[in-house]
Amino acid sequence: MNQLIGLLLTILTLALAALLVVPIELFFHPYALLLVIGCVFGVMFLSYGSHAFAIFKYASQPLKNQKEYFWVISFFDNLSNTAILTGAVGTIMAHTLTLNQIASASGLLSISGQNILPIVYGYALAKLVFEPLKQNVLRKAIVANVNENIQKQIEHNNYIAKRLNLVAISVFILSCLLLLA
Amino acid sequence: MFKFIGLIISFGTLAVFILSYGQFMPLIDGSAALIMFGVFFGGAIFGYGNNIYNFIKLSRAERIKALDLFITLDFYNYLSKLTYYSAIIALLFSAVIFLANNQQADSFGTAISLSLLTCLYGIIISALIIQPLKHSVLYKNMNANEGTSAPKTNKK
Repeated sequence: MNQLIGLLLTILTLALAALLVVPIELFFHPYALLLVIGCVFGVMFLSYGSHAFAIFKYASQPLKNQKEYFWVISFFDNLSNTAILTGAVGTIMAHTLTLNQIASASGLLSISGQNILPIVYGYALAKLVFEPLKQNVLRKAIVANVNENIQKQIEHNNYIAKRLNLVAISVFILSCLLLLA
Repeated sequence: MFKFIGLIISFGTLAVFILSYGQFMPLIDGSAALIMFGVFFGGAIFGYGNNIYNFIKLSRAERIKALDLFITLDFYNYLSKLTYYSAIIALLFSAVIFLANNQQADSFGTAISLSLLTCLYGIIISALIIQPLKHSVLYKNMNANEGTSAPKTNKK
């Protein structure tokens, strides 16, 4: 219950902040939302098949052994990384598809603002939903002396995703700067 | 069956997103695809040679030994890294194109599309194909509800 209140509070705060700054329509892109949520659920089914939803039970019950620890942490890492990376995919796709339609520098700026929304949605889903769930699992885990190989693999889960995301954002920003120049 | 549904949902939502912009041709670029797939397949063969087939066989097996599991996961991590490397190489290629032809505005489009699309292909391959395969192997071998070959705890 407390977790649901926390989630609602965060979403309401963000919505209020958006309302105060600019019209809310600027932050709404239904196709980007569909892309991020669709890809996250698609990858979840693709990776874990019919057991995908059963893993969420570990968000409320403690992990008792290394096997559970390994795949439950990897599960939340996978969803979190997929959300951010599909957001990056959406941003790059939107940017590439709208480049042809730009007539001036001011047009580029306004369209690029809309194109950033997929990565914003992906980041919000990863950090406001999956990351707190993972922290919950870590907090409740009753596992001592985790195997070194398992630790290494868990670190690897995020290593490539973080770097790919960084490259995607850099390429997007560089291309905007290049076009403006 | 569920995996097939997952594949359709993932690529279906990608298709819907592209169709919402009314065109898809700007997303196809021969040189970006060449860099991406060249680095990916070349790097995979250079790194693992004939063993690629063995790792595919291990991935399809119902149960594998703990040591084999970690090696198989490392294989998928390496494939993911190759997509990252190809994105970096394309970015550097773009920089070369841009700096060498900075007087010609036409070359800007080539440079931008090369880096953007290689990065796009890399993320799609890594996040929607390789990582689900890796996590599927991990789940099959670490599912706590079935007997597995879990690694032993470190005793220090």
